[in-house]
Amino acid sequence: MPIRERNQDPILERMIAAFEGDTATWRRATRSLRDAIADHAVRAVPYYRAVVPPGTPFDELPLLTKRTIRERLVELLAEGVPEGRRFRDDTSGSTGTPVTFYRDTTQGPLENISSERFFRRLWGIPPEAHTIQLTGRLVVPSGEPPGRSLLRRRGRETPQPRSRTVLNIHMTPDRLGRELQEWKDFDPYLLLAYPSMLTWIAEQIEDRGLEVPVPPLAVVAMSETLSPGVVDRAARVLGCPVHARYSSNEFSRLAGTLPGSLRYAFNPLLAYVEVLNDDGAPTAPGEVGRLVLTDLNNYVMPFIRYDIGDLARVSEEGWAGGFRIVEEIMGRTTDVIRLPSGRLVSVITLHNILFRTHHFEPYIDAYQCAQTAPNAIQLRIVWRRAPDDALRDAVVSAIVPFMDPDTRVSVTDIPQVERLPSGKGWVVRREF
Amino acid sequence: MPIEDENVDPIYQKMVAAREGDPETWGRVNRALRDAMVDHAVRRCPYYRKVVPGHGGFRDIPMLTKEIIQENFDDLLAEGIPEERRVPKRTSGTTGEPFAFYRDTSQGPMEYISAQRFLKRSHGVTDELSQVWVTLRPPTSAPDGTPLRSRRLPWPPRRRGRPTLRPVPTLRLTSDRVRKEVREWPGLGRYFLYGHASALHRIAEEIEESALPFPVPPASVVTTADNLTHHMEALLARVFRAPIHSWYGSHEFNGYVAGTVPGTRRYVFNPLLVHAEVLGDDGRPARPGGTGRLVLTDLNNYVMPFVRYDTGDVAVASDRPSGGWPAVEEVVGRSSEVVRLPSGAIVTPAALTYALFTAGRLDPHIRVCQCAQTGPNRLELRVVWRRPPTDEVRTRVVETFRTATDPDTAVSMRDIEQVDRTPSGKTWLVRREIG
Repeated sequence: MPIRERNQDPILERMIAAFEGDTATWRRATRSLRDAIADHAVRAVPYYRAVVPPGTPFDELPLLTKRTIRERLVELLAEGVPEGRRFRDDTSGSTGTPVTFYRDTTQGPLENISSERFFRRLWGIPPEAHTIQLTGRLVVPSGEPPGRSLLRRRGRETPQPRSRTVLNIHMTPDRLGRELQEWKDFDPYLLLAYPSMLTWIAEQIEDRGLEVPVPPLAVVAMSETLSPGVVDRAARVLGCPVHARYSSNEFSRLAGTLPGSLRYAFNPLLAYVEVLNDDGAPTAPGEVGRLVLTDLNNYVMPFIRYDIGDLARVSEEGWAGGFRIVEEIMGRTTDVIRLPSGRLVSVITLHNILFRTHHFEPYIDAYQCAQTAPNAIQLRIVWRRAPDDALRDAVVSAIVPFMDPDTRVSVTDIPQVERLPSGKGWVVRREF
Repeated sequence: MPIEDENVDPIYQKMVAAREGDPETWGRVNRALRDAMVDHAVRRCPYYRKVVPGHGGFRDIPMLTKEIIQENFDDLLAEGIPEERRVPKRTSGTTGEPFAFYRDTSQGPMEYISAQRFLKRSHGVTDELSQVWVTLRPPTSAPDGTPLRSRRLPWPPRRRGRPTLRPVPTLRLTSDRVRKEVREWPGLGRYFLYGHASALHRIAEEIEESALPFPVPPASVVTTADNLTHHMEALLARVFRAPIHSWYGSHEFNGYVAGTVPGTRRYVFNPLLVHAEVLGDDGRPARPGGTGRLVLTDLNNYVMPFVRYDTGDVAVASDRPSGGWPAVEEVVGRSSEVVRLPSGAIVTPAALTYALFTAGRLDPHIRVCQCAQTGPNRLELRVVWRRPPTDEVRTRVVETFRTATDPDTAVSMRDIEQVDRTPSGKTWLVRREIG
């Protein structure tokens, strides 16, 4: 699909050329950029000098883990790069204790501006659209240094789009009603939100019959795993397409969903993507593995083969031009349950069981699934109406065939779903 | 040499990493970007769709010449790129009739800002330095693309909150003007000189001959546009008492695609802007130390791709990159500035000035000169004298000139009042004047 744009951003132009170009050509380009950052790391970073023998092929470099970063932070900083370029940040803590790391201030224009522009064009969102962002963080990590002005159009006098940020914790039912009315002043606008917040908003609108005077042009989900159920519901209630972007504090805006799907396209100018199995070998198309990313632009603290803690399924199709396609991001490794047989249970698995194979939507408002022992699953459910034992048994019966034969499945009633300290929600997790 | 900089321009940072990185690694990056541009060109441009062989490699792509651009103009424009991104340009006419082409607005940040910044840092030109810009006509914009508000601004225009930019038009370089300029430059504070090599040479010559006081040397001298010979370089260094550097560019590619390695005449090419080749007459890469045509592929013009473009310059091939920046040992000059004698021997500006000034020590007599090939084996030396020459000096000049030619070459000499210039204001040293 050609993306046409009048702009003067050379990096965006390259992204567009990569999306529309020849896969083999752009795979070479990404690999060459990958090798260039690895070359920099091996020359300038004490950690890599210590652990990487000269001449080591890229795919034999050790995986970088959060634990390594925590224990060897100083050794991971590149020598000779001015300290003024270091941008300190922490992980959100979704996967455990937050980890401190450094990004490169020069990444801001690439990732936060060009990449955002690219995906907005892909999703058909015009540059003049305003942004409503519902977020769990008090300070939105910008990573946008003063240099971003380099990539702005010179002499452009047109008004800049406005943005409005609302913290999730402030979003009460009353506040939502007022917000929906006020958002019409932002027409046209894009709504950025966590999937859990989208679910809540959709539910409020449906249950209370709230009016949406001006629907958003599109919804972009971020931060949490997006399930098909959330997409369907948000699209129906808000009357617009729902997309998702994949980002993290460590990498920013690396990937976005292809329109009409939950398949993520990874930007080949920003990251080199691998999906590896437990042996560290690339997974076959269709299989699930760990998502391992190499940042192509952080020259301050190179992230080489970083195990970001997410699971992904490699696409059979493989590529959209030079953009690597990941069929599905199944969420954090902590968002996926592995049963003793090796069977994986993800939010998407559960969604399909509860709402597509069976039809519990009239009964279940929200749920969380905890693995409380190696072979025990507890489904915690916020009910729409008071359940009886028959309904609980029906849910258990629906779930059991998709677990191991001897998995214990139970159902517990809860008044509301639990949230993480970062404000994010979770759907599936291991608790032992 | 590590270049430390706290700025936050991502393209610039990649240029630094490339300069400090492994040549083979960055060679792959450069080739990958080149192939991506070819891929774009073949998909979008009717011309390339027609001429690029389906199964051939990059080196099978025919060279793009000025004639091809003139004849296939519309077919070279990429389909599907908004017309608003087209920046109409014309060549200077140095190598023939000026022709029109398009650049891509998206190239600006890479080339005007990042690339120029990189060359400045490499050559010791810091942000606070004022700039004396010796150029053909008063500019309408600064080298970094910042528009100067109006030609009616007080002369010189002063950019608010920035160091002074002082344009010096080469067409008004009278002796009086040179004296005035030199007298006023100390008022700029710390500054650097940037401009046409021939014009800077002219200023240096006036300073030396007239023994003008020159108390505040520039931090650096950067030549561009026309060829800087060893002879000219020596004079600039002596008079300006500053390091002499040179930047390579053209209207088609902008002015910052390459720069000299400090202290040498070797040019290194920015691997994020161009893919550089030096090709022999057979179209194959020239061997290191061999002379050939400088052929460039623009890695960022998505509007009108320049793939394997014959720049019209001649360079000496090199196998000594500077980090990931490929190098040429020397840019000898325009191909039109290299004449070939029937024996196959060539006469270049460098060879001419070496013979006359370095080996022959004729500076006290010759102000400037030009060498024209008026027949297959006939050369005419046109000389602007410093003072009326004696017969003995004339004979010595002819004999010295002959050392740069074949023994059977017919050599003549003619007195001229001033050197001939191209329509763009550049001078030339050697050229062919036969059909």
